[in-house]
Amino acid sequence: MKKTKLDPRSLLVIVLCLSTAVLVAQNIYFVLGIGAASFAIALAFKVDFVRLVKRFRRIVYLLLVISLVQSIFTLDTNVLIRVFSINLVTEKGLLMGVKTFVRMLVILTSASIMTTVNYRETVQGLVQWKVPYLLAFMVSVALRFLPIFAGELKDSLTALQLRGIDLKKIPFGKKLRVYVYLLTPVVMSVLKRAQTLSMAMEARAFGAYPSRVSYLVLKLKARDYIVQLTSVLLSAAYITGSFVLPL
Amino acid sequence: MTAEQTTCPVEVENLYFRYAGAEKNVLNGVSLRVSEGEVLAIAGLSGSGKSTLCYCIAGLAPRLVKGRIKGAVRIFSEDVSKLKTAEVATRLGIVFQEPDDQLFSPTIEDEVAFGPENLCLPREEIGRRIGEALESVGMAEYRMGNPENLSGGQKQLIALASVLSMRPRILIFDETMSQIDRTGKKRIKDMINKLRAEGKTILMVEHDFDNMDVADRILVMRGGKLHPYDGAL
Repeated sequence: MKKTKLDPRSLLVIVLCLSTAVLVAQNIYFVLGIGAASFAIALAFKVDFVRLVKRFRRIVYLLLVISLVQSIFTLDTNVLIRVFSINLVTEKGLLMGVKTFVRMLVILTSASIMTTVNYRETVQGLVQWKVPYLLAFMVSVALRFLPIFAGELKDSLTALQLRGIDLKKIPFGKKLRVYVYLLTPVVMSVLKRAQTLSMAMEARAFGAYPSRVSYLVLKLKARDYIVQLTSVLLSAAYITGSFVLPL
Repeated sequence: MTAEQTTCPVEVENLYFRYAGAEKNVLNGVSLRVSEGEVLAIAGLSGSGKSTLCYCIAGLAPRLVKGRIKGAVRIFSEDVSKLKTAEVATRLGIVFQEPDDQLFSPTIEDEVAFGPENLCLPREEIGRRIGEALESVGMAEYRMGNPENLSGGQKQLIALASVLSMRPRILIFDETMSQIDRTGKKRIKDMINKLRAEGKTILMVEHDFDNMDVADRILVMRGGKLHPYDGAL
């Protein structure tokens, strides 16, 4: 993934603006507009969409189900689909479902913009915004180790399959039990890694003093100020417009 | 010559350690002295207590590794339990077995800078130390790279550089060569020889005797005690 030239704080402002605007906006066209804008911005930052779709495939299915449920349970007089005198999909419900789906998709897409910058820089950006270092560092370490834990779970599942247990063919109840069995070694391994990590950090004087120096220092450039200001103004205009033109 | 230079770098006296919740001691009266500039190897079977001894010497047990400790561990004649985190970290560095568990930064530069940053050193000094440490392990060209893209041996060299940036005079290698290939092992051994030539005191824990050819002395951990090496574990 190509690195962006913007300061991570500018990216954070974009993400915050997109997420806030899409959550606050009521007008469907505005919601769709923000959806399109977030995709365009993600493309401009060269987000790897193929990888992203693969990673979020299951979440997208879940989002579709949530949107459908939202659509079915929203009552309205304009019925679009009726089954055996039950109003299944109404106009208002459909709009609500679409809005829910787009909102969640925007949150995922805008968050993916943050993957174009390395997490050390994001941590530093947060620290320079006066977020406590410990908090920012914990988030970054969690992000660093998540793929390792996912890999370990996958290895354990493969080991089970090599012993003749085909997870695709066993009933849901048994599958659940298998996952419970798997959890113990994975959690133990996580704890062991966490302990080694904390020892490695302590051996390098982590927490020795109440504050610490950072070798990396981020500096905002003119383009960062422009991007941040434009994002805030645009999202404010969008939110206002959305309330003026409700649908 | 300072007082620190004239005293014994590592002294362990009648050390006992029992992990929290365990019924037996892992260490049963270990005594040990490591001289300035010496490379001491400790061999032993898995679970014999080699790593536990390293944690006790580094002051990590019982501070982080919970358990009951009895006996004395001194670094340059000072009780390790009475030293502050920064004091231990600048005297003694430890490189662990699994490279992936001790590297946590997105760039090598950040990884090596982590220790000096915690010591609150000036930024110019941190920059100088990063350069020196990476130069010393022969990884200067990877400075802006991601540690995840390196081989096991290279990762261990970065872990070592991260420790060297703290400028410790004692180094502990806790089965550092167990996860790496022959080329990686050779590079680590070359580094141990280079560090010895610089006057560093080195304690290496290993279960593979092939990795101990760089050691000046070998001891074997058996039954929670150290024994002179007699050709068997």
